[in-house]
Amino acid sequence: MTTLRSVPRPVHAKRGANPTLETLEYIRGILKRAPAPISRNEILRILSQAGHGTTRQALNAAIGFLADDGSLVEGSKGLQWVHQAEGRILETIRRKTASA
Amino acid sequence: MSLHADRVIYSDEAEQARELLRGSSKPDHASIARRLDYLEQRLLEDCQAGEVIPFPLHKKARPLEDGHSPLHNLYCCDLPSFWRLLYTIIKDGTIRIVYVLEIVDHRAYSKWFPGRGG
Repeated sequence: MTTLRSVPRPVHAKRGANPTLETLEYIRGILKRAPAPISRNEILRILSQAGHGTTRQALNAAIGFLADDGSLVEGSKGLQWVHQAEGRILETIRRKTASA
Repeated sequence: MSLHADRVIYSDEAEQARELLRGSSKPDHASIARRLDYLEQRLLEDCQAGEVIPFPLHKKARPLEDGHSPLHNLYCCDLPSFWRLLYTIIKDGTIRIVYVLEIVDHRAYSKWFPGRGG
């Protein structure tokens, strides 16, 4: 049985940028429900209006954490939640990736 | 930490259209094909370079939705000669993908999205 010699260091959380689980869930919920790409400012505004305001640093850490598994993209229009491919699209992706 | 797309993949229909445009001798088709090559690089840098098409889609776009379901987001890029490139952003595991759904001319596009853009 192997044991860890030391605790792995957090990748995204740091002092001053350590969102709570609740904040993470709110941010994830906002991103998942947004009908269109949404800016970081808009996320902060929505959280603040709902009484769950957070800092920009904490938001950035949360976005970094949520994006780790590929669930977020950011472009010129803002942040967009990315769903896992399914059905015919997934088949096509797998086929084209395998043949490439 | 990059939040850009990792790959651009074409559906079978889009691939077919692209090959048709590349192999065509018409000058406007060549122009569209060149634009497609540029867009492929552009979309890797900015996967939201296209215009957002809001959901729910127009009922006439049902064939598009049914042919590529499930769709969660949809973007449209303008091409020369009023052609359009329609794509969605999805992931396979941790890999973010710009998936090009269709490359169509104005007539096909306006069947799905009547009154939307010139």
